[in-house]
Amino acid sequence: MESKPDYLFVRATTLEEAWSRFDPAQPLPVGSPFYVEREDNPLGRLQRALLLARGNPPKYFFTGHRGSGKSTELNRLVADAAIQKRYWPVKFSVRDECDFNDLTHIEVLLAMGAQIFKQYHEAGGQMKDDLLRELETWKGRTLTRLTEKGATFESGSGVDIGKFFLSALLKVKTEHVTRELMRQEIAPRVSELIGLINLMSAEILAQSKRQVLVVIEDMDKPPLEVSRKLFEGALTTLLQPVCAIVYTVPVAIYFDPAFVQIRDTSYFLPNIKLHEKRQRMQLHKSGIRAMRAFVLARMADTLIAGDALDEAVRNSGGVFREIAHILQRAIDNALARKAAQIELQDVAWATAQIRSGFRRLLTQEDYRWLLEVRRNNDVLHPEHLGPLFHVLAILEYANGETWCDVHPALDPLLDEIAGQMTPVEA
Amino acid sequence: MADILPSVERRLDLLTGVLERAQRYATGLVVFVIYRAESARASFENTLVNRLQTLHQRVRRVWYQPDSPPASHDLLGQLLKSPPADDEVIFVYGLHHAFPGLLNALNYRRELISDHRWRLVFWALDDEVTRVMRDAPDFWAFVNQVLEVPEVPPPAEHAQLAGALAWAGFGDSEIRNLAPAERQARIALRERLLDELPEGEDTLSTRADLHYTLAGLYWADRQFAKAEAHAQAALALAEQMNDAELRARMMNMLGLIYADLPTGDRGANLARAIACYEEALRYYTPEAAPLDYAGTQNNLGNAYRNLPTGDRGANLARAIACYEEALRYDTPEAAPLDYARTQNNLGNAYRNLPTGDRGANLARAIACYEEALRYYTPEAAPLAYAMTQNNLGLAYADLPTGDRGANLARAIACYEEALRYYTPEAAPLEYARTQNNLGNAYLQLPTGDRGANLARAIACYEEALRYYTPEAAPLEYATLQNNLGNAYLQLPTGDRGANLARAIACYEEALRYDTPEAAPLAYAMTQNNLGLAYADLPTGDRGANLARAIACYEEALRYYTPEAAPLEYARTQNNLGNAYLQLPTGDRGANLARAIACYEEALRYYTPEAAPLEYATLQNNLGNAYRNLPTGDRGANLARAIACYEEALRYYTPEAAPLDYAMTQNNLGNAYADLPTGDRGANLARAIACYEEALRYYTPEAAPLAYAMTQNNLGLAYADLPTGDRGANLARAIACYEESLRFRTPEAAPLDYARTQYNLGTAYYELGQLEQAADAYRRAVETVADQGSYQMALGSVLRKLGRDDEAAIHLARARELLPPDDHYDRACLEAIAGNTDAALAHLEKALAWDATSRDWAARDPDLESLRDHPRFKALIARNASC
Repeated sequence: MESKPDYLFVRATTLEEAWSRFDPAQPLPVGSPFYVEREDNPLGRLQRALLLARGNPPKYFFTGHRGSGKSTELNRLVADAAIQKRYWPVKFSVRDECDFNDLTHIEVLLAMGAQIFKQYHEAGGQMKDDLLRELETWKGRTLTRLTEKGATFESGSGVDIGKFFLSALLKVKTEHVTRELMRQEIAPRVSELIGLINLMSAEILAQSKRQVLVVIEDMDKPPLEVSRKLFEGALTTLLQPVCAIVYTVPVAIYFDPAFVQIRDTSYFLPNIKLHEKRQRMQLHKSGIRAMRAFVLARMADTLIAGDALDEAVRNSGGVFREIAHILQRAIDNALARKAAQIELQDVAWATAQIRSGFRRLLTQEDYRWLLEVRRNNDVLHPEHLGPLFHVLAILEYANGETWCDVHPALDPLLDEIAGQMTPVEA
Repeated sequence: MADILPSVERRLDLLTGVLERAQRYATGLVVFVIYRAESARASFENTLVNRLQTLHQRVRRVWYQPDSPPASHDLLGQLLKSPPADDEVIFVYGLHHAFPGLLNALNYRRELISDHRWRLVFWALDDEVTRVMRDAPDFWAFVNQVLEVPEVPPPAEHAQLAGALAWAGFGDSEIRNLAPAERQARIALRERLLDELPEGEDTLSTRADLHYTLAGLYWADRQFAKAEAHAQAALALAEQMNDAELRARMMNMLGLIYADLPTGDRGANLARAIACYEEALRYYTPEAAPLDYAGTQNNLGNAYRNLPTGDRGANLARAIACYEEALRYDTPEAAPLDYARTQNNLGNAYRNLPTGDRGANLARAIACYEEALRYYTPEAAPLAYAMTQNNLGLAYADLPTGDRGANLARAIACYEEALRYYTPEAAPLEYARTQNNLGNAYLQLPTGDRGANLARAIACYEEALRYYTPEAAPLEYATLQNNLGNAYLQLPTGDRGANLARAIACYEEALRYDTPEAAPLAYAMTQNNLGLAYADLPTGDRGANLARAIACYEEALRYYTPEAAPLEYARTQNNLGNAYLQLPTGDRGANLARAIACYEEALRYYTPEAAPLEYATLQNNLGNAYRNLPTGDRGANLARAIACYEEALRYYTPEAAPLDYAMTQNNLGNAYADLPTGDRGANLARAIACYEEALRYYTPEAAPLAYAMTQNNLGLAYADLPTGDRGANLARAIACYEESLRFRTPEAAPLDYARTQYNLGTAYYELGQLEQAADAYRRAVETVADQGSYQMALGSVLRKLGRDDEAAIHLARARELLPPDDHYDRACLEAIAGNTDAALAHLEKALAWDATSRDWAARDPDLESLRDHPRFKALIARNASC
């Protein structure tokens, strides 16, 4: 994939230019001028934890709601100078390597091994011959057993272990039969695979004097049941490689009492808090500032009326992707009006679209829970609220304690319904 | 409903703007357009597409249908395989038909959209959007814009809008030429519009329009049951509304449907079609609706042209009358493409007309096609242009007048022009059909290098076979296999046995689909061709091959009857006769009698008027049969043979068929040479004249082996000539044999080479040049060791040269090899061996069969020991007086 051209990271001076600055699909590259520092950024704590870790290489979990900026923050983490000085980062996404619908620890470990080898090799690193021979031997043994069972791979002399890993991963991703064979073959010998990862990590440590830090993105994207099975059934295995690892996990797992081990070593990227718990009128200035900075880093302040900006910030709920949606849609409407500036009506139009979407999804039961959450800002019944978190009808915040509120775009809808409904029984 | 709903115009501006910006800034884009009424959606979409076109942007549509294959549900995977261009926007419809696969793909691979900068517009119903939001929330988070087209127009407007949409892009030639996906999309739109429209008086007319256009679209899509159902529904509404014009339109549409129905009795279907068109013409009069009148006359003409029942000539005459009537109103000014269409159809009718002068009919057909091509241009109607070029090619290929080579060259040019637009992508079956036609033209082309032409023909047929598969078109596939077999059968280059083996394989493949039930005449044709291949096969047992050929011809004659196909019947009778003529097994006399019967049967239908060259061929073949007939009076048989050859030569002229003329002259010479009656010298002089006439056209360049054969025959005639100076005659004979041997080589024709060497040896023997004779006989024996007469000749001359031991070997071999009924050579053998009585007994039998041998017997050195025997003298004298 080509990276975006540099001009798209220059502050826009027209609405036409501004439209392209609010793409909700793209995380920010490292060093982007559009990056906004957030208050009490947990990545700072994760970074410190990684830098302070001694003894066994640390394993952490990272999570956050959709649109909160996880990818942007992880990009910054691995590019951080202090991290780079201590660690040899290997960052990849399981999306590129594995089939989300059918993901197990085998594929995750294979991807890990492949990426460690590949990225070290591409950076000019050279593993020693004895390690390469050991890798080759493992490869040869595995290949033989797999081909005897009917799988086919690119093989022969000159095909290095990295290619084998990647070839295996591609087939595992795309060929159900090969995937099953691979699992049957590796599962009873997973310690061999972990052993190879450890050997490579040790080699890199020896040569570069830096410990390997594996950062795996998008492990929060597979269906929840797939993620549950992965982290429930294979957590111990996933924690075995002797290298530092940061796994992304689904938010639902973070909050699930069954995964307390994960919770204890997790870093949660909350949304930007815009007001205090149960005090909507008490605005949280630094949060507001961060959201305003998000917008005004991307476009000149003359392109948006003051009240429109305030309304956009308020309706974003402190979620970066939501404000990107609101601004891009508002720009569309303003341009359609042939206006030179975003006005309140444009933001209202954009917010109405978001609200229309919720209107389709939400049931009467959902409205009852939303009214409850709007009233007390508490996560009292997570088993009922899970789906509402999933669709961002409820947004989560943290200031010492974790609390939540409904998406601000829903307020008019809830106001309309409030008078018609009886409260839900607790 | 959304809280704020700007005007439709504003929403269009917004959507156009966002699509244009995404392209300009090279970003991916996902837009959902939510609608509730198909009519409103279609209207919105049409306007959007028009706007995009002004911005030089194109739309690619992805329609999910209930039967869309699951693999297609991975929209993003499909786009990876066939990426959109930078100026393309992808419109996606029918989402729910692709759930849940589509949801999974969108949710888990959504980054592909931004990675590849695709612009996607999803046209979705409320339920579909809800499902996307709930089950693909990560993808939904990427959606850039959501617009609604919630309007449901009031019923009157709704009906009006739906009616306009019903006719959007609907035109006969256009709907036939639509890509299948686009046609499906138009069908889906109209079906949905029909679903949405409430029943009632207000919507009658619109529903009728929708049914009518759906009937047309289904007809173009070859879903005839649905087409008929909609046409009948429209007809019912027309009658309810008492709308005569609509009724006429429906009858015309029903006629088209019945005319194209692939199932049921073809004749009955076309009869129904004719009835429908005639009913339509009660309303469509030239005064009321001239173009509709013309269109229906054209359709009626098509029905008559394709009618398989009744008198073919009469049907085509009616078709011509209909087309000519149509052309009074389908003028170039009023409707140029319709005019061209009718001219093309008229050309087809003339081309297929079985009555009247064939050349004149085809000339008219050519004129019609050329007139059509003035308006069927590549720019206006590329596929129609290609079709007409193909038809023009067929007319030239069939034209019996003018220079054949020039006509076929024109036909080839037409087919190649057609193939510029009949491509495998645009029209695979038409492409295949035209490739077949082109192959046929090369197969028949009389000019240029024959081998190269046939190689081109083979290439064309093989190209056509890539698209005419047994599954897609079994009878066309069979025809192609038959044609490919014909090309291999006639291929003059390469290994003959291998070529014929390929031809046999092709014919046998054709016969798997050309069955007597499916296509009796095609079956018969292929059986006939298979027989030709077996008859010519140089490998394997000759008798067995000819027996198979006979079986094939007899099978063909079960369906090639004089009533069904008189000329093909005659041709196959001729082929059967040839097989009996060449059959080496069984009773020779009986075989030749059967051959004569076949030729005489064929001559009942191949008359000089109907087919002069074929008539001549049959006369020649009949002559061959009489000449070789071992039973009956030899002189009478040869006299009949001479009469047949002379009759053939009335039509085998040097101008019409120079090589056939030469062949028949050669055969006539052989008959005179064999004639036991009349003056021997005069007969042989006539034979010499015939051979020399043959040699004017049997040249070394044109036909080297035939030239050699005729030189050999000429040599034999000189060798036998009883008049003139014997030495000079023998010298001429030797010159002829040596000329023959330049081309009759051991490699090219070993048996003939040996025969001519034997003849040469005999001439030398008679001249007393024994060493030369021995050399020639030795060459014969070395080439064909199991020919008794050659062994005997060599033994005889070696004995004369005093090489008795060597002679004895060959004479002993000759005794083993000579057939029991080769009485002449047995007479020589016994004479050499000193067995006088046995020699004379054999000689008597030999001269009873062939009195012309008397002259040679009188001077044959091998019979020298008998010359003074009274019985010998009596035999020679007796045969001199016969």
